[in-house]
Amino acid sequence: MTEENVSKPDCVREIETFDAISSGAWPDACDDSLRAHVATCTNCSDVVEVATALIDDRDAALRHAPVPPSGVVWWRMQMRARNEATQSARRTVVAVQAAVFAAVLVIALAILGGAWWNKLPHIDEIAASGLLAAAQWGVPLLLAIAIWLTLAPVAVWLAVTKD
Amino acid sequence: MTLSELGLRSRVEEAATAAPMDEDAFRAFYERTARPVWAYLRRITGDAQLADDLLQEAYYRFFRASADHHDETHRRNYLYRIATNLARDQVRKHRHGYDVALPGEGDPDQLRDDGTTAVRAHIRMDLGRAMSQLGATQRQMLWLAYAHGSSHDEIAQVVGVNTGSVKSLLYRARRKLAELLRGPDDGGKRE
Repeated sequence: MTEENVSKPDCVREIETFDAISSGAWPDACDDSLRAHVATCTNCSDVVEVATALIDDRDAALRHAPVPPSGVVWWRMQMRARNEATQSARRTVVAVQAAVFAAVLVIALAILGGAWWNKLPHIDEIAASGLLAAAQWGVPLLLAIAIWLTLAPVAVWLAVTKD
Repeated sequence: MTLSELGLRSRVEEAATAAPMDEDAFRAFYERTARPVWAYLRRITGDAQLADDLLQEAYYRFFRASADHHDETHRRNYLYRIATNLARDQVRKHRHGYDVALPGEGDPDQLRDDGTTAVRAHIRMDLGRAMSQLGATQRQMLWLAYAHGSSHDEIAQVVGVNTGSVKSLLYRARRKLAELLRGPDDGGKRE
């Protein structure tokens, strides 16, 4: 067994062997020294065995590949992207609306609670007047904010779905 | 069919397609790459139907990622990496059998065509059987190296291994596939 026969991860003529196969020169159009080398080198004979099988398989697969036309793929991708954007926008709108309603509910409860607290006999005079002012001016303001926060996501959604 | 015929090594095409993708650019890129990517998916999954599905999913994810690719090679490697990850996930989720024949193979009309076609179809069936006995990473590396002509760096990027270990992993995979292709009677006759 010569040094060339010893199985090791590379051989200096491995790339040359592969190039001959991939260019179609193997076996008839390549030089005799390469054929003689392959006959004695485990690595290069493996390259020939594997590369010829894989390249033949690749060429057959390229002929048979049932790929859809590029226009169809592009159209499907656009439709899918649009659907995903719509669903994402819808989820955002629902999440924002839920958050707004929860916030409005908490604030309304706080104001009502404050007004109730105001009626208690032991409450401090200043604090009571502050809560009362908040109860008087806060409700219309909160309603305006709630309406705006509800409509804004809808406007965003409409803008997104227009695309 | 040479590598340049497959569109794998053209510098002109690399320069022409470095810009972000509009419809025309995408369609041109798809025309150049869809068949090789399908062939790759077909051989690494062993399932033509799954390859069809993964092909479309791979292009969709590639398109949605809107990554900035500085050249065609980078763009192509990125697509192959997506395809590889999708195939890996599918194989993990649904451990299915490896189908050895390509679509159209085993077709009596094709086998009757002429002797060469029949012999080649048999060789491909043998390759399918042999590939089914390799690990998924071995199949990926062998295909990329010998059917696609990828460099070790490109293989490392696509498969997700260290560049330094590609050579030894590829060597072992090639050794195993060569032995399987030669069959038990012929295996190791050179050693």
